[in-house]
Amino acid sequence: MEELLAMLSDLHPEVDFTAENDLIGDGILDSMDIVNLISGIADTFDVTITARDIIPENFRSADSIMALIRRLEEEG
Amino acid sequence: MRFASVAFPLFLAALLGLWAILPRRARPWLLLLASAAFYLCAGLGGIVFLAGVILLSWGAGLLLRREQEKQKAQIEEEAPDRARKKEIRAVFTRRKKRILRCALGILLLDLFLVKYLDFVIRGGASLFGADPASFPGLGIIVPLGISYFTFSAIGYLIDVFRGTCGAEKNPARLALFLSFFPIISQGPICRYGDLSETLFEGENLKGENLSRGAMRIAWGYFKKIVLADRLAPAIAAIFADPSGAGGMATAAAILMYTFRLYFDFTGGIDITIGVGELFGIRLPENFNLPYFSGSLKEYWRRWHITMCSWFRDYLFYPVSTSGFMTKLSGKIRTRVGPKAAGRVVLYVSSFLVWAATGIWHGAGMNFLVWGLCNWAVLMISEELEPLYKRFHDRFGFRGKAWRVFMILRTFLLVAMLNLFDCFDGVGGTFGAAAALFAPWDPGKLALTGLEIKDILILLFGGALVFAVSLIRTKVPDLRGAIARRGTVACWAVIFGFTLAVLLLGAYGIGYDQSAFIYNRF
Repeated sequence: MEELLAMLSDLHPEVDFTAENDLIGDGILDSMDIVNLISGIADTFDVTITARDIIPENFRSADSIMALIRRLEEEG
Repeated sequence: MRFASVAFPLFLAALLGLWAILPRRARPWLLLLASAAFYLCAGLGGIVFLAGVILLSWGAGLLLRREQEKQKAQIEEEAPDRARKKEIRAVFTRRKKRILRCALGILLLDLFLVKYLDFVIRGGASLFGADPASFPGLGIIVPLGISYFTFSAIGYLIDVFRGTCGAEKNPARLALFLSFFPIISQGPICRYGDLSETLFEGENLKGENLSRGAMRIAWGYFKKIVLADRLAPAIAAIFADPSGAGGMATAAAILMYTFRLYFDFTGGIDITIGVGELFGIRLPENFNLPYFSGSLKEYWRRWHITMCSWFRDYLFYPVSTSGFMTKLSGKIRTRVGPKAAGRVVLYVSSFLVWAATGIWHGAGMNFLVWGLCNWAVLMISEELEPLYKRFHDRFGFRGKAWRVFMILRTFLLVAMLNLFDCFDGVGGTFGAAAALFAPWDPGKLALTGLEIKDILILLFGGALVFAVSLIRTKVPDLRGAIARRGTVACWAVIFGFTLAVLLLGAYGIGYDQSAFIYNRF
């Protein structure tokens, strides 16, 4: 989780990602941030996020992104 | 039939009357018939084309559904371990991808043949030294709303493939989704999963829906007929010869075009959403006060929202997460570093998106250049972001005055980019831009042909739109606030704007119920 929070903070240092629960709805993460984030996640966690996984529910908060990573890790 | 024609309100009134007397389950059929009648007014060829797109989408959707069911059945039957489950999923994903690629290929090929073949042949001719103007064109009549219903069909099939919406078994329901008359000519581009929640309900007519819908429709007509159509001939007069009109008149025409585009497109969408509301059908919003944006990036989050989100979800994300892009970014990551890899993915994917967005707007080099100019500005802004941040930290420009400056700067940038939309070729756009440096003669403003009465109506109407926009920053549901004041308040608004349209509409000699600008896309 720390690695993910560090990645998110790199994108928006001014945001407290442990407290934010609507990163998409509040306009914090835009499409460019998501592409950068996916690239970082691929490097760090060795999972591939595809276009079908990019839905608001999966990127709503740091917890939901982490849940997506765990799910993709499990699916191998 | 056009929204701004006399026939449309009559058509709508007849439809509401029939809706009221028909049983609930028959109402979606009425909408389908009405959509077919509306579309037939645009020509018989178009409806044949539309029917082909509907049948293809329906058939491909069912094939995708069959593969999904087979996959589920096989997993249930075998009760496999994780590795085998992954294997089964991979086999069926490959099959589904083949179906999807085939269907999307046909849809895109159709769009290409009908909308872009002339443009490609002319481009090819000029490459080989021939005069493109000497090519008369293939004479194919572009079906009304082709880009909108093709994109809706593509979105539907991708959603079925991804499992975000189920495949529709009933072809009539899919036909209604793709041909629904308020949205077919200029959007918004709808998602099946969202629109199907209300489209097939056949909800009873309700006073609240009628008053909200009518308020929105009247407001839309006011923006379109009183303001946008009044500006249209003035802009055309200047753009007929920008160099002759000089700097001041050309600058005025550029600004007027930017306002006209806003009044025209948002007015059209207001009418569309309002018509949906009359029948209890919820359509997605397409604008969020776009001219209050502080940057081009923000502008594209607020303008033509459904088109932007379509390109984001169905082109930008698939390209940026594709196998090719993953390999490319992997190579760059090992050789240069992770930041460079991220940048390359962003640049290449967004380049494709903006080229496609440009071409989507029209078959012309001017639209392609317009798209790529947007891309260039966005990417340069992205690169300069750290510099902006240091600048703000150093000088602390963050207040309201700074925000107003940013909004004006963005507005002027958008106005200049929109210039590509005003001329058939790129040359005309650069000619108009060059005319800005010609002498600024206030006397040439008379070329617009606007009389004092027109100017007063435009100033008052523009101020009203601005005031309403400002209020909406504090009260997003302004119509809800009016409705809470009672029925009299609602109908006073409806009556007031209808009267304004009847009395102040830009009718007169030469008035041709101007089609909405976005109809041609």
